[in-house]
Amino acid sequence: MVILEMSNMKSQLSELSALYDGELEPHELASIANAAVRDEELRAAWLAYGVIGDGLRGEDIAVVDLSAGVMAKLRAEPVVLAPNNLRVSRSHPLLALAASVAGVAVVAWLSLAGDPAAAPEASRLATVAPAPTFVRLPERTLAAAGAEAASPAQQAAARGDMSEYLLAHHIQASTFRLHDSTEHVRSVSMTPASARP
Amino acid sequence: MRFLLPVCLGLAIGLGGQTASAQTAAGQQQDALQWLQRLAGAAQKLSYSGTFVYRNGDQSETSRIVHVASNGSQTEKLEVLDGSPREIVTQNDEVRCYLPESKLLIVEQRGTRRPFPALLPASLAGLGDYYGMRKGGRARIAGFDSQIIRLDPRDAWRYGRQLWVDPASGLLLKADMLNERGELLESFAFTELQIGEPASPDAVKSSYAGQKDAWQVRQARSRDIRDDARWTFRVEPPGFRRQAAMLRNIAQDAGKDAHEVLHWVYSDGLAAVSIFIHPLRPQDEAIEVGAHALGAFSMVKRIVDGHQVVVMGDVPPATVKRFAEGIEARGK
Repeated sequence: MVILEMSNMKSQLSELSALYDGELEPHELASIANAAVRDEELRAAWLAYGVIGDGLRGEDIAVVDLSAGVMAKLRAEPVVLAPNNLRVSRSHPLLALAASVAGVAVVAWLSLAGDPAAAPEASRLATVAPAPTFVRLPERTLAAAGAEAASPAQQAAARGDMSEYLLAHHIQASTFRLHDSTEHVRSVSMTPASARP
Repeated sequence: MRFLLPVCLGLAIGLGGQTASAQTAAGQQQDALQWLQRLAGAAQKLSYSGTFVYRNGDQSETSRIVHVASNGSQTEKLEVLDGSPREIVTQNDEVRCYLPESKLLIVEQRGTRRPFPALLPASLAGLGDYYGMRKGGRARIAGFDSQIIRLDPRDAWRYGRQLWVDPASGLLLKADMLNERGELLESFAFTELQIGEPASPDAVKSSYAGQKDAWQVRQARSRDIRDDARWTFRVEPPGFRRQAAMLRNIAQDAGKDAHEVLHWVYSDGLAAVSIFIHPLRPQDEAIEVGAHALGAFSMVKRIVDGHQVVVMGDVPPATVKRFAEGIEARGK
């Protein structure tokens, strides 16, 4: 029976960060996995790291369940989003878009960060986001995050495509429209953050 | 014979019981189906105005809607009240999306092949194969006494729905999307609703209609195609059938080069999935992205035979993944 104490929590959060940077030994991995099963807060952090990490690395393993608990976690502790040694290899249009869907702009912001041309867009995005605290990440982190990002043209192209796909999906793919309105509010909720030309 | 009789009786009673419960389930299904048919018609035939809240995770957004139906034509204005201002004005098949902060107007035609509502009874009847439907209790929503209708998926390829319907008008008052554990993924709910035409016809006009000159207009163009012989599905999730196939131009504004994208729409009658396929261009990133979900919305990106395949829809991540993995170039 493992009971997590508050002091323990912090060290486990840093272990989580290490985990997502691939720096944990197998036995450490098992221990933190067990702890996460029992502890809701740790589990939420686990998911949050997973979302950001997988997203930024462009890996094909993230099935993200941004449940209310995770969202609350993201709000309460934005620092979770910027582990010190986060490695960014690519921009991540899909994740950025998924993030903007619910207004969690920080992920979109991170993937925009490597693109100086996208800065005005990013600031607009910040005004769109219902959770503005998230977008105020330290400059240093943003610069580091953007170091290896894709070219602005690539990012813009990818973002543009996705938002247009989204709109097309919501306008064309509603075979059983309960209300026209419900389909549209979803699409406009998703679109503005990245539909900007 | 003397010994057999009780057995036969027992069997008969047992069978009778089973048949009765089967009939009850079928009856419930039928009952719920009639409510759905009513509901689907009401949103089109009625005029109404109201305010509703859209929730996704712990995010929420309030919108104002005015819908006017008269002489077979429909006009609707939807205005998002929270965050950045956005408006969508729909006149029959034309959808205009106003994004005032970027002075961008996106105009899109909804296809005329749209199965809704003409094919509705057929598509609704088929729903029973993939969703268990039943009438639930009653609840008050936005001052209306509503009937609850529950749709539970019969497999893991789709999400469940709970709907609150106004018995008098048939109008949908609230709609929840639920995952396999019955947890809420997404919700639309009226907080205030008035049935009947608005006092002024201007209520369905865009606030930005007069200042269109300064706006950038992006006309989304698509044309229906019969099929695309180039692509096929090795596997696809059960119950989803192709509703539409079209070629559309994406990114038409001057700054970007337009390219033609194949767009397929699949649906099980309730959930819809879009599949977009286009050849990889030099500026495209040839990266694959695993299934991501946010609330009830899932998305995945794959590279297949030099093409980018994007699958998205209001389905579990596994479903978009299955579509994406099932697609292949024909003759390969």
